[in-house]
Amino acid sequence: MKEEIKKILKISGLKSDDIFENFNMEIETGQNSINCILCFDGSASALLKIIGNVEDNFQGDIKINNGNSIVVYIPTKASSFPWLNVEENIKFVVDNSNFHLSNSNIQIQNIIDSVGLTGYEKHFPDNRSLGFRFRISLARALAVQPTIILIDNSFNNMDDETKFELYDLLKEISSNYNVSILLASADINEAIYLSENIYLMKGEKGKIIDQINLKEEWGKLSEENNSNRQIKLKEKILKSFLLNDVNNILKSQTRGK
Amino acid sequence: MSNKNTFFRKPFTLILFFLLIWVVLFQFVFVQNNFLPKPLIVYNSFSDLVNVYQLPSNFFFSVGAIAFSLLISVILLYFLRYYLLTRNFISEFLLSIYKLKYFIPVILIGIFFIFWFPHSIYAEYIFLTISSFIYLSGLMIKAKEGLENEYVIAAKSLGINSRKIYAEIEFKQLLPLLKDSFTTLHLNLWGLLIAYEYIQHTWGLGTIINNSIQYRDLSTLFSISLLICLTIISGNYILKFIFNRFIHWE
Repeated sequence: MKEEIKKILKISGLKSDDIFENFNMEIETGQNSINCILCFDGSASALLKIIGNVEDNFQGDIKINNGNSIVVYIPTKASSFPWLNVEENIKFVVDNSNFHLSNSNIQIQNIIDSVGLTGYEKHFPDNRSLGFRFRISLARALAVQPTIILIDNSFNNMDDETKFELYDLLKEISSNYNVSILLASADINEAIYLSENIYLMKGEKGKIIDQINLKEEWGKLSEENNSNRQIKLKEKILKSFLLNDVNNILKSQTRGK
Repeated sequence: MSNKNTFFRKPFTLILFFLLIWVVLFQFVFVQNNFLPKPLIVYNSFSDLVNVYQLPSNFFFSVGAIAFSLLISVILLYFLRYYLLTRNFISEFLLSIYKLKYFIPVILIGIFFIFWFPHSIYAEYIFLTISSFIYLSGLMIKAKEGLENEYVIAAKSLGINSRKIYAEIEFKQLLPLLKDSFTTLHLNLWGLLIAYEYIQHTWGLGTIINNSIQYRDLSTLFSISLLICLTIISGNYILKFIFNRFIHWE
């Protein structure tokens, strides 16, 4: 059966202070997909903030899934409230959100179970436990029944084990909750592991320099083994950035190691 | 080495250490001196402190003034938190008054209070409450400017309204900072209280200090100073205990 392709996001004529000048972007993807904007400076973060409606200072048109969608932005730094426990964090959002939530459908315990925090309902988030706090942020996002979740470089300071646990969790969540995820990242391996589409973004004036559809790429490299496929894909991405004169790739990738 | 450091960092232990030195030096070594009284004289003069200087009523008056001003200013801070954390006339006005502390010693305002209400016992309570509230609110308004905004951004994205963001999220985010500043405020209030009562010379521990200086009563001066130090240290412990019960996050 052919997968239905839908347009989840269309940005046209975006202008914002020094970052974007007539920026255009379309994300057309299958249901419940994870897409990544790969970028080595702060422009992808700025874009996500604009899409997530937390930055008002811009001009242009942003259409999300026919206009009736809830978009939730998860910032780079941990943002779960440390004065509330896991359950209260989610309940606070359910009780105080201006989004018209159908409260009867929100099962807080189900959400807690889905993000892997069963048994930790009464635990308070520790500042140092980034994985735990990300799970709470994700649970709060799910509580408002979003169509798109925007994740802004949230895995930066986590150890590899936690990162991969969360990558798998995101894939599960995206499919179980019928939600698309748009991720801003500076880590090529992360983008390859998670995404259906990778959008390569150049910081200056916010320009999308290339789009890579991972399914197509895997198909082209089907004769190679998994490790070789990854290496070739990574080379392709790096080449694309270098051709477009993006200078800070090496620094950013070394930091990611 | 680290154990020694911990030992001297505990205020009660430090005071006990100095008391021990004082007992040894001034009871047995420097028997005749005008710097500090002999421990035995201080001990014997305690009944004078209670009966002549009316220590219990003056002590409770002063401690009451500190407790009242801290409590009322925290309550005011809580109920006015939304107006303090948004940019408006109230917050701008309080911040500008708070900044006056860089140019004007607060006790100067207290002197005017004494001039206007020379015999009022309430004026001192009002003066300390206003000082305490302006200190806390100014600190909060100023700290808000440097606040990391992840919580606010996340809340905005989750559709939380701005009133809730200011009153619930930013306020809670600032509480640990206020907790740390409370010790400083507590000490500053004691300084103001002693100076105020010393000048007004009607009630309180400052009045006892004033009298003891007038009567050249070194043992009373010494014991009242010691009592004030111990009260401040105990007050800090109580404040820390109360705050740690409610503010467990960083």
